[in-house]
Amino acid sequence: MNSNSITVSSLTKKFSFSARNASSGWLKNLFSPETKEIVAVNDISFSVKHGERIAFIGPNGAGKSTTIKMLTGILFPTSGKVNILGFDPTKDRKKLAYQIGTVFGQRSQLLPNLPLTDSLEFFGVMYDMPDKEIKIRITDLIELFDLGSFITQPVRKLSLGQRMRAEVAASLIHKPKIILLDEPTIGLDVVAKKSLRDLLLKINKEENTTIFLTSHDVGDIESLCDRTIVINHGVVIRDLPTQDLAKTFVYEKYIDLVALSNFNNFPELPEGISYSSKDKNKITVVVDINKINVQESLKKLLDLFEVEDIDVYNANLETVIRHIYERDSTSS
Amino acid sequence: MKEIRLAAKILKTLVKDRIQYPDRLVVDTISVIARCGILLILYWYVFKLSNGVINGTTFLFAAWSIFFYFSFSVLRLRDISREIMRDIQTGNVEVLFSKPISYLSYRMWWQVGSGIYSFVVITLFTVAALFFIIGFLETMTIGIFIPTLILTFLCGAVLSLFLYTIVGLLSFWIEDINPVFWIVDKAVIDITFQEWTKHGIILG
Repeated sequence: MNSNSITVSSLTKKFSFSARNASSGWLKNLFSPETKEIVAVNDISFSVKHGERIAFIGPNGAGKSTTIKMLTGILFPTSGKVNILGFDPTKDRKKLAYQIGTVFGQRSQLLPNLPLTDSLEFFGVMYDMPDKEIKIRITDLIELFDLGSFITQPVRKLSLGQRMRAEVAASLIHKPKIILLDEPTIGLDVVAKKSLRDLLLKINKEENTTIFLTSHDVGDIESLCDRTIVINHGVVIRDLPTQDLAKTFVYEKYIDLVALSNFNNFPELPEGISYSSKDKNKITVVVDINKINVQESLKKLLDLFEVEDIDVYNANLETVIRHIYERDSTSS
Repeated sequence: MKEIRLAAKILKTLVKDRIQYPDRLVVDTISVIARCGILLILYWYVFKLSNGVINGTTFLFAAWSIFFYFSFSVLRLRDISREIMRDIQTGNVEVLFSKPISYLSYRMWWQVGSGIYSFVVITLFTVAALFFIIGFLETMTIGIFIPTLILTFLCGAVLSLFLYTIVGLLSFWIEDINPVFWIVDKAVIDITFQEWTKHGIILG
C-alpha cells in the first residue's frame, strides 16, 4: 500500500495575461494585445506521508496558494502530476473532496445567521453522510473541539477564536484523511492560537489526519508541524524536518552580554561580529560563524566588555525563515 | 439522489434562516406593496378613464398580470449573476470548489432558497388581499389555471437562472459584469414584448 497521502511531481503552473504595450496604438492593444506569462509554480516535487504534519511556507506571492489550489483540483496545472490518496485532482475533484477538508483562514464557510449545528448538519448533507452518522459526528466534534458552550449561538455572534474552531470542526465533519489549512490562525490572539494548534495536534493523533498548513506564523510551524517545505518564486527551496530548520541553516549565532555595571561605550567589533541591539544593560551581537567561530568571538568580546552573564543561542525560527527568504531573493 | 437531498437541505436551511431573521421578508413586502400597489392604483385610474377596457384588456386582467410579475420578481433569481460575481471576486468560489458539489447547481438552488420563503408568503397573502379587493379573473377559476401558472413560473425560473448564470460566469473574464447585466436585463424585456416573440411562442 502506498504510504504517501500526497505525491507531487514536476508540478508547474503558468498564468498568461494580456499586457498593454505603451508603444503600440490602442487598436492594436485592443485586438492584438501582447501576452505575458508568469510562472507561479515552477517544477516542484514533494511527497507527504499519511499522518504527517507539513508546513508549506513562503513569502507572499511565492506560489503557496496556487499549489494548494492545484492540490484540491480548483486549478489545473500547466504540467506535472498530482496524486492525492490515489486521485488525480484534475479528473476526480469531487471524489477527492470527500477525502479532504479545507480551511481558508480569511474566508468563512459557515452559515452566519444560524446556529453552528445547522452549518455542521449542512456540511454533513453536502458530504452525503446519513442523518444518523451526521448526528454522531456532530456530538464527537462538539466534545473534541469543546463547542458545547456556543453550539446554539448564531455563527455571526461568535468570537474569532470560536469561529475558527468551528471552521475547523466543520471541515472535519466527513472525517477527511487530509486537512489543508490556509493561514488558520490569522488574526487570532495567543490563547486562541494555542487552543487551535492543540486541537489540530489532537485530531492528527486521534484520527491520523494529515495536516498540510500554510502560515506566516512561526508559532504554527514550530508547535504544529514536523516537516517544513519552503517555497519561493514558485520553487521548493527547502524541504526538511522543522527541528532541523533552525540548526541546518544557521550560519549566525547570537550572543547576549549582560553588563557587570553599565556599558558606557560601544566599540567597533571585530570582523564577523556585529551589533544586533545595544543598551546600557545588555548587548546582543550576531556572529557570522563562517568568518569567526564562537570561541574566538567570546574571547574578543570579553576583551572588549566587562560582563556579568553570557548567553549563546541560535537565531529563532522567524529569523531563520527570514534569512532563507532573503538569501533566496538575493540569489535569484 | 444526493443532489435532491442537498437541494432540499439548501431550501430548508435558507427558509429557516429567513424565518429566524425576517428582515428580508419585511423589505420584500414593503417593496412589493410600494411598487405593485402604486402601479395598480395608477392603472385603476387609467382604466377608469377608458371605461374599464384598453385594447381589449380589462383592469382585472392587467392587475393580476402585474401582480404575478411582481411576485415572481420577489424570488430575485436575476441576482444569481451578482452572487457569482461576488463569489469570484471574494474567492468564495474556491471554498465551494473544494466541496463535492457542482458549483452552478449549488448556486442555483441557493438562489431559489434565498427567495422562496418571501415568494410563498407574499404571493399567498397578496392573492388573498387582491381577491378581496378586485376579485378573481374568470380564467383563474378553471382547474388547469394553477398547474399552468406553476409550470409558467418553473419555466420562467429555469430560463432566468440559465440566462443570468451565463451573465454571472462572465466574471471569470471581466471584472464587473454589471454593465452586461443591465444590457441583458433590458434586452430580455425588449425581446419579450416584440411581436415576433409572441408569434414564436404561439407557434411553439
